Amino acid sequence: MPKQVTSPREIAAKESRAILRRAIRLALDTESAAVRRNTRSFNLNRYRATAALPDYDALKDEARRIKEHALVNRKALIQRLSESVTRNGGHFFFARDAQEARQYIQDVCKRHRVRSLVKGKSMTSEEIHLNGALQRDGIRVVETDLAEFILQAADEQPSHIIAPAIHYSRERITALFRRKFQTDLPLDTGENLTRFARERLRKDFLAADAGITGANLVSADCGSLLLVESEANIRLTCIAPPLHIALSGFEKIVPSRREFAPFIELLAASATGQPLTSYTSVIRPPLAVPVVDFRGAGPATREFHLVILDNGREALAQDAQLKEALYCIRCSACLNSCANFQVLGGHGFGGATYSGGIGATWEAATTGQLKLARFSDLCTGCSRCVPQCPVRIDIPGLNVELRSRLNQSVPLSLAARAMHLLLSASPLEHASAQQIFFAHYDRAARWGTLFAPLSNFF
Amino acid sequence: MELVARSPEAVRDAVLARASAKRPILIAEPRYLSPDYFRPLRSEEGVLRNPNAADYRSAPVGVTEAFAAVARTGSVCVDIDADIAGYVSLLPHLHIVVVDIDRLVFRPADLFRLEQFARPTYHRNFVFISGPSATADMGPLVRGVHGPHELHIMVLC
Ligand code: SF4
Repeated sequence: MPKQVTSPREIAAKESRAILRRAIRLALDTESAAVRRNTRSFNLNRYRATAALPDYDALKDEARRIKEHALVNRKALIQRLSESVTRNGGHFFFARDAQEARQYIQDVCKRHRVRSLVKGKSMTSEEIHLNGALQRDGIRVVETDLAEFILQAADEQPSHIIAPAIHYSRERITALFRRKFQTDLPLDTGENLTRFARERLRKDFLAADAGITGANLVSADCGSLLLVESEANIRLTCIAPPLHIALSGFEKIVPSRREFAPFIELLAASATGQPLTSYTSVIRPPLAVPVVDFRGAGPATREFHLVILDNGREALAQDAQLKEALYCIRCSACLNSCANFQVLGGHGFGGATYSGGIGATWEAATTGQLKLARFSDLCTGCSRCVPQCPVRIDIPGLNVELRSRLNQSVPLSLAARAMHLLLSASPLEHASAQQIFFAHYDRAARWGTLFAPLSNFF
Repeated sequence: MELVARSPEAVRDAVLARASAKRPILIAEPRYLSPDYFRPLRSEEGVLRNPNAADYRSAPVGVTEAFAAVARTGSVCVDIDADIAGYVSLLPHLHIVVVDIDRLVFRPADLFRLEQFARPTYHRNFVFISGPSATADMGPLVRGVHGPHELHIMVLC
C-alpha cells in the first residue's frame, strides 16, 4: 500500500515507476487545471512572438552554431573567462560539483558576515540545493522572484523552469499567503498579492548584505552576464547589496558579448512570447555605480564572485548521444508545447530540479543517477516540441536514449559498482557516478553485457 | 511615449507635466546627451541630484537618459553606471527616460554590430528596458512589481 502523499516534495525524486505513478496522481488531482491554463497562454504568446520574428529560423541556426562551438571550446572559454573576471576586479571559482559550489559560496558569505541575502531565480542554485546550506549557516535567504517567493512560502520545488509556480492558481496563492503570513491585508486579486509581496521584499532588498543570481549567458572575453527578467528583482539583487555572487553552469559561456545578440530576441520570444521582457541586463560586475547605504552599515565597496559549475556537465559533454542537452537555454518552449506536460506540470513530469522532456537528461546528469531520469517515460516521442526549440535539440531522441539505458539498468548498475571500485583508487574518484553513467557509458555498457547473466539474480 | 523638441526647456516642461505634483524627482546626470538638457530641470524645486538613502526609498519619479532605443522591441537602453542611473531607473514608481531619435536602431542585435555602438556597448553595464516591471506569477498580468510601475519615454527630435 503506497503511503499517502501530501506534498510534491516527497515525490520529487522519481527513482521508480511506483513513485512516478504517485506523482502523476497527485499532479492530476491538484495541479493540472492551473498548469493547463498557464501553459496555454505561454503557447499562444510564443506562437505570436516567434511568427513576428523576421529571421526566426536563421536566429535558431545561429544560436545552435554558437552553442555547438562553445561546447567544443569549453576548456579555453572557461580559462578565458576566469582571466576576464579577475581582470575586472572580480573573483572566479570553478566548482567541480554541487558540494564545492555550496562550500565556496558559504565561505564567501561567512567572510562577509552575511546575515541576510536576496536571490534572483536560478535553476542552477536549485540544482545544488544552495538555500538549505546557507540557512543552516544562520543566513536569512529570501527568494525574490515572485514565483520562487510562493514556493519558498510553500516549501516546494519548482514545477517549471521559467515559471516555477505554474501549478498555482491565484486562489491557491491567496490561501497560502493567508496561512503562511497570518495577515488580514486584502489578498484577493493579483494586484493585492503582488503589492503584499513587493512591500515585504523591498525591505529585504535594501537590507540584504549579499545578492545571488544565475545568468542566462556569460561572455568569456569580458566577463559579462546576460540576465533576462520582468520583475526587476534581478536588477535589484545585482545593485542594492554590496556583494554579488553569480552562479552558472559552464554551458552558458559564449566567446563574447556579440554572441549574446541572437539569443536576446530568441529567448524572449521562445520563453514568455514577448519581443523582449521588461529587463534584459548586460552587465560586467562589479558595477561601478556606488553602493547606497540602505543598510545603515556605513560605506561599502562592491565585490563580485562568479561560480562556474561542472556538476556532471563535463561527463555529459563527453557523452556523444546526450551532450546536445547542454545547448538548452532554458526557455521552456518544449515544456509548454508538450501534451503530457500540459496536464501534469513539472511535479508530475519532472525531477527534483529539472522538468519536462529536456529535464530528464539534466536530472540524470546533474545527480549522476540515471534512475532519476525515470520520468523520461512520460515523453511519448511525438516530437511536437522539436520545432519549438530555439537551439533545435532533439528532445525525444534524448529520451529514447535514456530509456534504452534505463532498461538495461540492472547489469549497468552492477557494472557501475564494479567500475566505481576501479575508479575510486584513481584521481577521478571525485567525479564518481556521473563519469560512469555518462562519459564511460560505452565501457559501462560492455561491462553490463559481461555481467548480463548475473543480472537475473537481482 | 511622446516626442519632445530638442531643447532643455522643452525637456523640463515635459518632465514636470508628466510628474505632475509628485516630488521629489530624482535625476541622473547624462553621459551621452548634452548635460544642458537636464540643466533647467535641476533648478526646479523638489528635483534632487544627490539623493540619500531615504530619498531613494521614497522618491516617486526618476529621470534618466538612454543611450539608444530599439524600434522593433520598443526598448530603451540605459547605462546603469552613468552617474546614479542604475538606481534612478529602478527604484521610483515612474521612470521617465529621455533619448535622442538619432540613437534609434531597429533591433537589439544592432547594438552589438553597428560601429557607433559596438565599441562602447562592449564596456557598458546596461539594460534594455522594454516596459514597466511586470509579473504573471500571481495569476493575471500585473504591472508594477519591484521596479517602476510606469515607463515613460521621451524622444528628442
Ligand atoms: S530544450 Fe530547447 S525548447 Fe526546451 S527549454 Fe531547452 S532551449 Fe527551450
